Amino acid sequence: MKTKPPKKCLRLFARLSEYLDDELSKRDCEAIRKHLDGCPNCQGFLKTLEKTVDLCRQYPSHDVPPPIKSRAREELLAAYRTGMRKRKTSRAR
Amino acid sequence: MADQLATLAEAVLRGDEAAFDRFAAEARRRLYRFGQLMCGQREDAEDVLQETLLQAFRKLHTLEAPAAVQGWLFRVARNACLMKRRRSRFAPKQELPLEEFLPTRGPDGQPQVTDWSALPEVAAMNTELRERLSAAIRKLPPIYRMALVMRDVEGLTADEAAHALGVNHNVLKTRLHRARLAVRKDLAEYMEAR
Repeated sequence: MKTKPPKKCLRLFARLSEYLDDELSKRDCEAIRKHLDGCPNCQGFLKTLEKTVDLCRQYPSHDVPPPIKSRAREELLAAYRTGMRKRKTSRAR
Repeated sequence: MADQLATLAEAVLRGDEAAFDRFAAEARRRLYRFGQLMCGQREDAEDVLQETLLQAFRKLHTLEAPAAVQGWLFRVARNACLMKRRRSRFAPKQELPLEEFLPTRGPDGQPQVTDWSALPEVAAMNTELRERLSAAIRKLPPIYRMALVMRDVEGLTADEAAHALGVNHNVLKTRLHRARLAVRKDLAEYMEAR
């Protein structure tokens, strides 16, 4: 049977991403660091969450989009030209 | 990367048609991975890509700040993805409760965190791990997936992602955290099974 972690761990658990993203106040960061120093469970959890974020950041992009078909390109170009005409008209007013 | 897109956006907004193809190519490249992770199906990703660019070129003349083009473009892509999803099937709203990802202690009171040191270094991400990560991301409900893909995969700033998703920073933070926890949980299961 698994048990829930202590309340201190739960409070930290909800803010781990903010901690990793450096979005917490200096005071909150200190409090988290202090807790982490004495809690191997949270330390281990944080490491795995950090690794998860690192993996996402390095998610490879091997696939390149297929070359655009000429009909699709024409459609985009027509949309662009129409938009630019509207821009010129609105700026001329 | 965002700067290159912004420079090209500035040129096309000046009416420089020579920059049109380069802008379209760069935007397609930036949005393709997002489309694939959001749609799953290659054909759907290509549809979303074309729809996004079509909407983007239709509205480009309204873009006042070319420097903000990345967040703006992803916002158009987000709308195209949601439209595609609505058209393709009934999509229930899914939530990820925080409690689902709580770390637990075993009956002996010892921490139950799998050792991930055996995972290959990021630079050497192998095919198996890439597929597992890709599956974990695709499994996320769309609102969480978008937050994670924009912030952690595509590297948008918090401001750009919040604008693209049309939410405030707190909502973005909550979605991003839960998405990361869900992906972490999936990867932990993968590590335990190894």
